Amino acid sequence: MEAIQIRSNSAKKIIFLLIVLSISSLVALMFAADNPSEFNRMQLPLLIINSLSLLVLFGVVFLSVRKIMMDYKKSKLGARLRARMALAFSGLSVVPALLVFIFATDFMNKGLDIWFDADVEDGLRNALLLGRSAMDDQEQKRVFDTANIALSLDGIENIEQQLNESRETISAKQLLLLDQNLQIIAVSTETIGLFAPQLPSLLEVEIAQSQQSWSSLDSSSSDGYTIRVLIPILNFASNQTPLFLQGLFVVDPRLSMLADSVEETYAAYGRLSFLKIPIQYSYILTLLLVVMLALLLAIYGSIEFADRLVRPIESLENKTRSASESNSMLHLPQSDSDEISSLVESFIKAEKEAAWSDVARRMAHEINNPLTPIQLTAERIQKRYASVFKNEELDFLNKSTDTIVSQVEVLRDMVLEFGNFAKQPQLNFEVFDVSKLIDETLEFLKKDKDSFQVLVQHNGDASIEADINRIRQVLNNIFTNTIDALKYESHPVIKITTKSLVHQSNEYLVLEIKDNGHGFDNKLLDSAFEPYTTTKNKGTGLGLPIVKKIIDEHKGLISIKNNKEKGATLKIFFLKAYER
Amino acid sequence: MKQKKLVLLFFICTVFSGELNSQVKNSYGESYLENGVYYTNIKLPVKFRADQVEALNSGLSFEADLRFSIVNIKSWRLDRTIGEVEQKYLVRYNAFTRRYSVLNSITGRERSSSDLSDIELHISDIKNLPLIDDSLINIDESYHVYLMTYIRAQDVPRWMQSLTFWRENLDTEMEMVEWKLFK
Repeated sequence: MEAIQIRSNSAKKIIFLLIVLSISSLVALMFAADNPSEFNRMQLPLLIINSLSLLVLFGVVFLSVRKIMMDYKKSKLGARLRARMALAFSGLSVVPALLVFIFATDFMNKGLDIWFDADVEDGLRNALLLGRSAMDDQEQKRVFDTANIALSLDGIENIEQQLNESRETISAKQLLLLDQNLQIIAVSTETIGLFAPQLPSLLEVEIAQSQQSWSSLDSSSSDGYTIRVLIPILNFASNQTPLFLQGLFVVDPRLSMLADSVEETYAAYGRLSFLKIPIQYSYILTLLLVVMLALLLAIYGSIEFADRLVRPIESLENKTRSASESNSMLHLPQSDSDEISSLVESFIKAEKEAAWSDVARRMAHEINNPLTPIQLTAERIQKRYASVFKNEELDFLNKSTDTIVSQVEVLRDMVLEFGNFAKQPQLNFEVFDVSKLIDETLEFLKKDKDSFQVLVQHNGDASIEADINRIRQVLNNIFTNTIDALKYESHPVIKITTKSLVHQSNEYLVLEIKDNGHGFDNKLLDSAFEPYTTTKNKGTGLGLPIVKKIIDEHKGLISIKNNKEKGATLKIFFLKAYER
Repeated sequence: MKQKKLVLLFFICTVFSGELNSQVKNSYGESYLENGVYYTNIKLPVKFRADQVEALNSGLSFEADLRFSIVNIKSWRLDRTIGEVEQKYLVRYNAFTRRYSVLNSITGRERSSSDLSDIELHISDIKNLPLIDDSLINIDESYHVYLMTYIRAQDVPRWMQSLTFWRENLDTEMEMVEWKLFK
């Protein structure tokens, strides 16, 4: 059972790529926001990428949630735990994300409201009015100047000369004489190139005629701010149609620059004010997109995390079920090396050890009971018929009864080993030197078999705190196995080294036993410490399991591996000081 | 049955004639040849909407983009565009002078008025605009001029437009105007 349907590696890679892409684009969006033109250029592609990621993530999360719900409804094992965990983790991310979104939106809206405060707008408008009133004074003066010129013109003869002199007198940029149909009669211009003067509109001419003057402040991209004045000319003797004098004056550049600045600021504020709602919406949408992405990522992560936690438990259930259905051994699942997996592994190991101990205890009991009657009966048969049979029959009787008795002894040894494996001993801890114990054990074993070479190297203090009898049994079992493995070697060698090691604040004595024997069958190496794993004809398969059990009882560690060249190496990590 | 068909035909004709009339009434374009150059006169119903006027008065500027395409019309083959001309006008409002201004971005000529309709009229009524050199035209073939007019709000960032896509757009795309380069 899997929480998320999309399991293929390529799909996972695409999702991962999209997540990386969306995070990168969000970061890019954040940096681009500092530069408006860059932001303007990049925003749309980034928005598309993020929207795409959002859609894909939404799809993945939707499928995962649907799968969890379906499993939950079907009451599948682990579904309830997975659903609860996913819900809890998602809840932990959803609530803060929503809170952040609500508060950020609120702060943003308030910030924008402060930005567009009425006082700011009034201040800007007042600045505009102030500037305009300063311009009004200049405008009135220019109306007065132009009106005086209009009064001083005394006829159409030499009109251009009159206009030139007058323009210079009043410092106008241009003086223009035109009729009511906007036909130019004469023009005087400060700049020679300025041949395309802006003509007044008919409406402006009408106003000038009815009100005796018309004036306006104007702006152009070339001259900055200008004042245009239009005055009707009344005193021409030959006036058939009304004539008008238009004066064009350039505003003082400093004043023009200040006016420009005020106008630009006012316009910029007006633009922002007009776009306030779209700005608000776009910021909220961007924030929403970011929050949604973060949220979906968190939910997806929560589901994935819950899935990883529950997977070993599911695996345990599956293995247990398949083992019970097929009456086969319960093999450890090859799962991730996290705590939950280790816990499951330990649980399986404990179950297995308990089961084996129970089997060993029952076997010891069941085998031990008939052994004594068998042995006694064999001895009685031998005694009773020793006087009856002669020669060959007697030999046969003696051999047969001896075989029975010796095999009973073998069985008794086996029962003893089963008993040792099954029993829960009371450990008597004491501090002793392992190197001495090694020497004793080897001495005992070499009495019969002195045909192998032993190289011993003790590096430093080799004392530990342990049950000396149990450790003696460990060494006995190991060396017996090692000597057996060297039986057919021409130059058998056993290398024994001890050294101290500190690991995670625990001080260990490391005992390494290396031989050049036949080593372990690679198929059996993984299960070397499991009961009844043996390649020997007469072995019980309990030697190494007993060693492992004793080392576990002492909270030590044991490992075994085949050497690259030949033989095997066994390592035991003894705690130097046992922690109760 | 026949009567029904006649009523339907009459209805369709009325609708389409009305459509054609309104197009003729609203937009108009003509071309003439002078000194080896084809010139054009155009009348367009350029009229800013209320929301556009509000935007203009708030400080946003608008660009009126007129795109002319001179297309060689082929009878049995694909038509071929032989020339394109673009005219751009920038319309803005100056809060200091309280006047609207229109700047021809191509020629640099500028005009201002306190009345927006003056500006609209300025863009609506374009006269003597040079279109294409006579040497590029084959008198034996048929040429049409197509005019597309867009009015777009400036100063509105593209990201804002894309994020507020559901809101009413400040931009306008006017009906295409089509006329023959010569009769």
